[in-house]
Parts: sequence; C-alpha cells; structure tokens
Amino acid sequence: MISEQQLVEATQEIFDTMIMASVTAHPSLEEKVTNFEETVSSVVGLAGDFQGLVGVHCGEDVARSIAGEFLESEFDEVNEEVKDALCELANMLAGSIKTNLTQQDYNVQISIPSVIHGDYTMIIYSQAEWLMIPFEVDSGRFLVEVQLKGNGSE
Amino acid sequence: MGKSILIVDDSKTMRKIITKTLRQTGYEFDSIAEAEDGQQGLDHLQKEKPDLILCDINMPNMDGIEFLKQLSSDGSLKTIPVIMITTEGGSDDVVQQVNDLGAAGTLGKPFTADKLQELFQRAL
Repeated sequence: MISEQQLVEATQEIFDTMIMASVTAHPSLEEKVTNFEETVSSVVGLAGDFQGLVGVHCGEDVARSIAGEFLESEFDEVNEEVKDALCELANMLAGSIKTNLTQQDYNVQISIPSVIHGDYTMIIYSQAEWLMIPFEVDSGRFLVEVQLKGNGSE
Repeated sequence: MGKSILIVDDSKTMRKIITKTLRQTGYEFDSIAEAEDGQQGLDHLQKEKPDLILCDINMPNMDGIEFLKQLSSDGSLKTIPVIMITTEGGSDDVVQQVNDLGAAGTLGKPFTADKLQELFQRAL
C-alpha cells in the first residue's frame, strides 16, 4: 500500500520544495516507538477504506528548528506557531499518502491535523500495518509514521 | 505595476510559505493581504479587490469551496481569478468541483515557485 521508498520520497519532496532544506532518511524502525518525552507530535487521521494516521514526531529542539526553517524565524519555545508548522508538515504528508492510495483505487479521506506536546504514550491502531522512518536534519532526528488498518472493504 | 494578492489560509505557516514562494516567481507585488478563513476573505473583498486570490480548501468556519461559491454568485467578485490550494493534488473529484465553481486552477501541496508562476501566467 505505502512503501518505505514512497514515504521517504514524500517527506524529502516537502523539505526540498517548501523548506529548501535537505533531509536524510535512515532505514525504517523494526520496533515501533510509542513512548515520547518532550516531544511534539502532529497527527492526521485517515478514514475510508482504511483507518489510520500519518504522524510526525520531533523532539522539542528539532520541532523549533523545522518550524524556524518553514517560517524563517527563530523560536525559543514550542509555541502555537511551531505547532502550526508541524501540523502543516503532517498535513502535506497525509495529502501525499492520500494521493498515493487514491492512485491505487482506494477511497481515503484525511482529517484536519492535530498536535500533542509533552510526555505521552501513543498507541492508536494496535492491529495496523505500520511504518516508522527516522529522518535527519541539521538539528537532529525526527520520525515519520504511517499506520494503516483495513476496514474489510479494501 | 505590481499585482495585489489575497491569500486565504487558516495556517500561518502556509500563508508565510505562499508569500515566500510568490516572491520567488519574479512577479512584482504591490500588496499581499492575508485572511484566515473564507469569511475573513469575503470581508477583505468588501474593502479591496485583488488581482488574484490564492485560497486553501480545508479551513474551519468557511472552507474554500463555500468561499468560491460565494464569489461565483457575486457579480462584482466572480471575475477575480482564484487559485485553489489543496493537499489533495491528485484528487480528480476536488479538481472537478473547484473547476465547476470557476476556479482558475488548483495548486497541490507541496508546490514549487515554477508551478505557481505557471498558474499565475494562465490566470492573469
């Protein structure tokens, strides 16, 4: 449905065209990360032929750095502007995933992005297929995640 | 003479990125105004009519589809070209819907300055 390469290309395209910053992909994780500390996660829900999500998980420093590059500003804290930038990143990624699934003749809708900040555990679809890829930018690593669970009609 | 633009998008990040990308197209701009949703966009149009509008589709309060419907039913506003911005660039349904409502084009995110420039040339 969504391959590691497709997720890497979608992420790199956003950084190349919208931020003009390079981002390096690492091999996908073999064990899913569910516990986050001092992290900003932006999440977009998927519905239709699949239940699922697209998520971006950044440590606070990386979140401030990515938002700074998006907005050409510097941020001392994770404020609403930083959260908005991370939401937009997840939103664009979800759009790419949706386009990809639509081209495979699946029906998929995406939600408005939401953001979580702090220390938390995130287990949304325990039976879902998942892909979690670490990416490297100058300020550190962040994770991009896709979870897809069929609803029986796909 | 420079162009005047109205950007309608609920995301401050996207409004900033669109403004930055507009300045990379080579066009000159007299003004780039911003609105956070369709209703704010309509309020702005009561005061000032831009040469072109860039409008997101998914927004709270009044979304881009409703904004486009309101424009197309108003004789004094329907001649302003509107480029719709969507995360669902590949969705034929969305493209068809906004085309039927008179949009001058659709711009899928992520986008480049070249793509924006191409749509500008077609719309203006």
